[in-house]
Amino acid sequence: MYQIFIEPFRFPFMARALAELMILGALAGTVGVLILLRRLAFMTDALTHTVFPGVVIGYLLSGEGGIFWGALIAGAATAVLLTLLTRHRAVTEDAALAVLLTTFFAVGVVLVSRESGYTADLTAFLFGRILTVTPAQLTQTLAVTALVIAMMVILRRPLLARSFDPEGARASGYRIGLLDLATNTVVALVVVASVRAVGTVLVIALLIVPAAAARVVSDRLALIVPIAAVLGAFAGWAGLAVSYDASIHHGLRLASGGTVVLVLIAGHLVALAAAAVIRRRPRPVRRAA
Amino acid sequence: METTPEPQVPPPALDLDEVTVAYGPALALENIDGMVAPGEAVALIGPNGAGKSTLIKAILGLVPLAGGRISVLGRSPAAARRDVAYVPQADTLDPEFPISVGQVVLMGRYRRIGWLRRAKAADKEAARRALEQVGLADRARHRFGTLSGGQRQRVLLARAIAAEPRLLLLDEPFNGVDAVSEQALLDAIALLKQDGAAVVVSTHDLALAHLACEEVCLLNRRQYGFGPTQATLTPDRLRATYGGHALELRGDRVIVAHS
Amino acid sequence: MTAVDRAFLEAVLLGTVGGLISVQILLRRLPFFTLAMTHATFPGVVLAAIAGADLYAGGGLFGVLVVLGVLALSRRPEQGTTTAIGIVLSAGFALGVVLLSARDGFSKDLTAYTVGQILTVGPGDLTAVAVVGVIVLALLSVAGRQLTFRAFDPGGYAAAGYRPTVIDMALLLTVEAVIIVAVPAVGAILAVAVLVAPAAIARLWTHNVTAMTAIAVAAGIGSGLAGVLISTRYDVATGGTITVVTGTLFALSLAATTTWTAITGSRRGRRQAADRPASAVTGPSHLEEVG
Repeated sequence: MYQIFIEPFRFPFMARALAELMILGALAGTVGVLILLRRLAFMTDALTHTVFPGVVIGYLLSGEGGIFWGALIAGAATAVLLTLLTRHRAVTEDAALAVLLTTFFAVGVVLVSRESGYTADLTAFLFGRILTVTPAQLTQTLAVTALVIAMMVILRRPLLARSFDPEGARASGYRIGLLDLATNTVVALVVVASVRAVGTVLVIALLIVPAAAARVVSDRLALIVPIAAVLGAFAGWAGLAVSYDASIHHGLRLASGGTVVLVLIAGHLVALAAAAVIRRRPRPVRRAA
Repeated sequence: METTPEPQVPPPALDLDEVTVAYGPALALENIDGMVAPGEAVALIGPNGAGKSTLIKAILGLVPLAGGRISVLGRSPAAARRDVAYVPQADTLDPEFPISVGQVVLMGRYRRIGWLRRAKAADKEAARRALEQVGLADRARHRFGTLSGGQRQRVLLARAIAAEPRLLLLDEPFNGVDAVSEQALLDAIALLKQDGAAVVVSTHDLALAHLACEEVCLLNRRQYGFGPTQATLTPDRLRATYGGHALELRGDRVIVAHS
Repeated sequence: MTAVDRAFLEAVLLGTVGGLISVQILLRRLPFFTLAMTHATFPGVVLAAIAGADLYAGGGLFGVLVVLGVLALSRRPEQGTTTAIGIVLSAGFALGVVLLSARDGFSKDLTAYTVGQILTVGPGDLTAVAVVGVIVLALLSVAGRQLTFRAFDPGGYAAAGYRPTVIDMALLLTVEAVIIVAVPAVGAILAVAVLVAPAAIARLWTHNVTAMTAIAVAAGIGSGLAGVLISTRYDVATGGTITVVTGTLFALSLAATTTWTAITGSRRGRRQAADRPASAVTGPSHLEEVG
């Protein structure tokens, strides 16, 4: 156990990767509960793809440092366009999302395909470069985390009211439009912060799976949030450790981001099985009574 | 010598025998009994969640019975499907769906048209007549979603009429419907009854039950009465059905207040 | 036939097939489901490549598993279809990534799978698209009416005595078949553009399902041809260019139809307002209607 789960992180680059993944896992797990309650999985997936052109343009304009800001601008543009598009009555939200997602992503693909390192750049964006996280990046992630957590703590009551009963929330004086903008901003911030480390395709897993697994185990929000956060962080740790161990000791190169997601999925399956066992248990008691 | 033909007794349009429906361990309906003859209408009356929709689904054969038996026109619900038409609540349908009123009504003929064949002139004629019966013949080319709520409900009734049913099931057809549409719905239902179709309609509206139905079934998971409208809609029975607290009496009128 | 000729032919075929099926995907509110299927078909293709088996068979087999997985997960009420799709989507893609990373030639193959390479399609790919096209045409001519009924009024469809599962399975399997033949040309992520955008464009122009289908096919073929033309001239990624053209077409249609409604709408708007009751009826939530 020690050899697999502790030893690899003696190396500074592994320790930084671990810190980044665990922070992001906990953050995404927490925000994921909001996504679950609002049923925003599709919008989240769209956001993970639409930041791609921002990443590319940011990189082309000012190198590594431009990535974060490019992604942020693209994320904001998505949120605004999506709100405008769904006002049109003939455009359903899912169609609008699908068109936005693919068009934005395609712009990124076209821009990247002009560059020489086409495949390498695309791969980095899709699957992240967790092992090259710098101390500056870690600081950035911490700042985003603080900002997002602060927003969620302050807005927790109106956000919950709006998720449960939009009409009631409107009636009691909350501004639904502003709350939705806040929600989209929170999700976009998490996506932007994690995209460079874990890659676009895997952010969606971090944002959806821990919360869904927590929801299977409990129906109390006070438990779901911490369970999701812990599961997200744990999956980051275990996935990183397993992929490291496989490549060093068994000669099997496993992409670390993908391994993290598979650990998450395994956690979800365990949660489903556990819930099934718990639900089965009271039955014989009832029959005996 | 002329021999008089043996008088044939048609089977009842609907025969409920100790019908029990369960969702998991919870009973949604328990021991419902009753019979509806051709040309008659029965109102299902009870509070929200009383099992009215469940009973309609059971008559359609869409939920399994935990006990008892349902026979429709002397057959099992599944076997009688072709002679049964169902009218859902209009506001459960997407108003943005790209479909015309005429197309919606023609859906009532799909079972007859089959999979591969094109709609025949007779099918189109039946759809046109049905739309005329609900007073919306001039709206055939409009998009379904551009109509008012009451008009949409009438289109859905026209769809059911086009299917030439012998048993018609309506789920809360009068909810949020304007006075003109309400009258159009009542007229169309009366016409169907004249032609020998039986009607089952779930509703909150006791006045409409008096207007449209010979019989009522008082329902709140259990059955609190089944019989002629006037005799069955008594204050005591209604109080029992609605749990007693949400009821007011003024002379011979009964008002059920919903929380 | 040169590679560019084949690319043009593939674009036309794919535009037609995608345009036809996209209308059904839009009406049944399946865009997100389609996205999940494109992502989750990916590990099937990777597995088939590793095992040296037929890529189409591998992708297809996995696609069927995905359909079953989503249907099974979304039966749990607290999960919801959207969440179930999200989980299956990320599981599928992660499995594909891990499998691919375990063998050599990681990034080159991966790019082909994610964004496609229409300039390398062979006669076999063209035949596959044509065969799937015949399947789509068969489905639409046998069950077109019933598909519209099912999408418009699920409760009424079951009440009329049809079996919803049968037609749902037929539609989902056909969508999966289209995805499998679209992936080699435009890639797993951009395949959604071919399968959703044409109908979204058409829906802006008309309320009629038949007219929608015609416009969707035209939009599919047009953006396919324009995409190949532009990308070969300026030497950029073809799948990406096709998608950008489709997106531009959507934006232009949106602008044109909105302007048109603004010009003619004041008159029509008054008439509609008179017909409409004061309380507007709200439609079902768009994202909940997937299953």
